[in-house]
Amino acid sequence: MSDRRTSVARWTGNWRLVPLVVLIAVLLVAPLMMPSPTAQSLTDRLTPPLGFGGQRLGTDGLGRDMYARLVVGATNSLTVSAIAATGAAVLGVTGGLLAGMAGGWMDRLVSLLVESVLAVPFVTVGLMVTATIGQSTQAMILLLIGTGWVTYARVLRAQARSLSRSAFVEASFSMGAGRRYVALHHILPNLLPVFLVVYFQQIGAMLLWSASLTWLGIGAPINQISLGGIVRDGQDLLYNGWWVSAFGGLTIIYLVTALNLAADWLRLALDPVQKGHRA
Amino acid sequence: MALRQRSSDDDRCSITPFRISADAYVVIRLILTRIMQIVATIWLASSAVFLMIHLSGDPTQGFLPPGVSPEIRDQMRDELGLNDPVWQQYASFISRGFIGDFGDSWRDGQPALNAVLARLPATLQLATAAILLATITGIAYALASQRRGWMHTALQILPSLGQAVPTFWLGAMLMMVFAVKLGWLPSSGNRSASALILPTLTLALQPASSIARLLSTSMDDVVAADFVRTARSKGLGSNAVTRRHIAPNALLPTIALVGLQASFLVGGAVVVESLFAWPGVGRLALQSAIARDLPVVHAFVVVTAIGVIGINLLVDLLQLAIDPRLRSLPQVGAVNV
Repeated sequence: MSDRRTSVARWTGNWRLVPLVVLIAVLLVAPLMMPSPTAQSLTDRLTPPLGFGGQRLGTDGLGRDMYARLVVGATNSLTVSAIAATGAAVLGVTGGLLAGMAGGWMDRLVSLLVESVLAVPFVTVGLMVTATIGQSTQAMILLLIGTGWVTYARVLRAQARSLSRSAFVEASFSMGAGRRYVALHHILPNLLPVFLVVYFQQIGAMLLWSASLTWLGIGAPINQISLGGIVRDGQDLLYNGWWVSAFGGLTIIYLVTALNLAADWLRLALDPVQKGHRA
Repeated sequence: MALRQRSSDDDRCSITPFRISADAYVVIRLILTRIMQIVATIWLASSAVFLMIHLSGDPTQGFLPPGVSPEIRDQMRDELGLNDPVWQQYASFISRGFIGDFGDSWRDGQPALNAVLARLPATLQLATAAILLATITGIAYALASQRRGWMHTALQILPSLGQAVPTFWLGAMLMMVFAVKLGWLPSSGNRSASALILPTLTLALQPASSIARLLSTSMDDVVAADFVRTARSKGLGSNAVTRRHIAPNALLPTIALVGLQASFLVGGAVVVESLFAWPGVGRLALQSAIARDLPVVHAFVVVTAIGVIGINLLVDLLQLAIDPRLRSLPQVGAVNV
C-alpha cells in the first residue's frame, strides 16, 4: 500500500520543478524572436506595457525593449550566480569536509574563518573592493565566492560530523574498513543530497546578493545588462515609468522562488525517509 | 545570566589551574572565543584595507587636487608615512586598527572613527525597529500557521516568497506607492517619526520571513518528537506541553538565526539607508566607498564586525540560559557553526 502512496506523493511533488523548467525554456527560446535589448529609440521611450496602452512589457527610459532586456538580464544574472555558487561550492565543500572529518585544529581554524567571514557583511567587503578597483563583474564573482563558501562549509561540517559518529560508520570501522574507504563509500555519498539542496538555494541567494551589489552601484558595471541594474535604471522613473523597476524586481522574485522550489523538490526526491516517518 | 552555581565535585573543571564550576568555565570559554574572533576579524579587515590602499596606487591622489606640485605631494607622503618600509607601515597600520585609530577621513579630514560613531545612533534606531518588527511578526505568523493539512502548506508560501523579495526593490515599490503616488509618508530623511515606517518595513521583511519559516519548521519537528508524546501521555495539558516542552525547543534554532541575521541586517541597512536617504552608517559607508575614502570604510567594517560579534555573544549566552544541554558540552562555541 505504501508503494502507491509514495509514488503518488512524489508525482504530486513534481510541480515544484515546473517554474524552473518554464524559465529555462523561455530563456532558451525567447532570444530567437525578440528585438535587440540595447537598441535605443527615443521616440518610443517609456512605452507602457501591454494592457496599459502599450505593447509587450513596455520600454525603458531610453526606449529599449523591456522584454528583451529582462530576458538578457535574467540570463546574465543567472550565469553570474551559477558561476559564483559553483566556485563557492568547491571552496566550501573542501573546508567543510576537512573540518568535519579531520577535526582537531583544522576544525577550529575553519570554524574561526567561517565565523569571521559571517561577522563581516558581504556588502561591506563589496564597498572595500569598489573603493579600490571600481566596478567589475569578475571582482563581484570573487566577492560572492569569498562570502558564499561559508554556507557550504557550515552545513557540510555539521553533516560530516554527525555522519562520522553514526552507527553504520562505526559498524564499518569495526569490520576493518580504513578511513579512506569510509570517507569515500559512506560519508561522501550521504553528503550528496544535502550538498545539492544547498547548491540550488545558493544560486538563488547569489542572485539576490549580486542584484543588491549591482543596485548599489558596487557590482556589475553599468554597460552589462543585469536584473539589479534594470531595477536601478527604473529608480528615477518611478513616477512615469513604474514598470521598469517593477518588472525587474518581479523577475528576480520569480527566479529566486523557482530555484528555491527546485531545491525543495530535490530535498523531497532525495530524502529516503518520508516526512512523518522520521525518528 | 541566571546560571546555577553547582558545588558538587564532579562539576568542577580540572583542566584550568583555578577550580571553577563547569558553568562558569563554559561562559568564560565562550567569551574568549568571541574575543579571539574579534581579533581575527579586525586583523583580516585591516590587512585587506592595507592591501587595497597599496593596490590602488598613490593614496595621495585620493585627497590632493590633481594640479598640486610634486613637493607638496611628497611632503604629504612623508606625513602619512608612505615613504617608510612596507612591513613597518603594515605593523603600524594593524596596531593602530586595534586601538581604533583608522586615520582621518580623506574627504573631510575628521577622524574616521568619529565619523562612523556619529552616524551610529540613526542606524541602531532603524535596526532595532526592524528586528523587533521582524521577530514579532515572524513568531506570530509561525504560531498562526500551525494548521493541519493543505492550509499548513498554503500558509508556508508567503514566507518563502518573502525571502525571495530583494530589499532594494521592496523599498522602491513602497516608496512609489506610499510616498510618490499617495503621498502619505515621507520618502527620505529621519526628521519625523513617520519617516521611520517605510525603511523599517523594508528592512524587516527578509528577517521576518526567515524567522517565520524556520520557527514553523522547527515547531513541526518538535511537535512530532518523542518527548512531546511522552509529556502528553503522562497527562500534561495542551497549554503546559506547549509552554514547557514545545516552545523552548522550537525557539532554539530561531535564536541562533537572529544572531546570523545581525550580519545580514548590516548589509540591508546599507541598501535601505541609501534608498531612503537615512543618515546612518550604511549610507556613509556607501558614499565613502564611491568616493574611495578608505579610512572611513575601514572604520565602518571594524565597528560593524564588533557589533555583529557582540550580538552573537549575547545570542550564545541566551542559548546557554535556555538550553541546559549546552552547559555540559565541551564545545559550546561550536554550537551554531
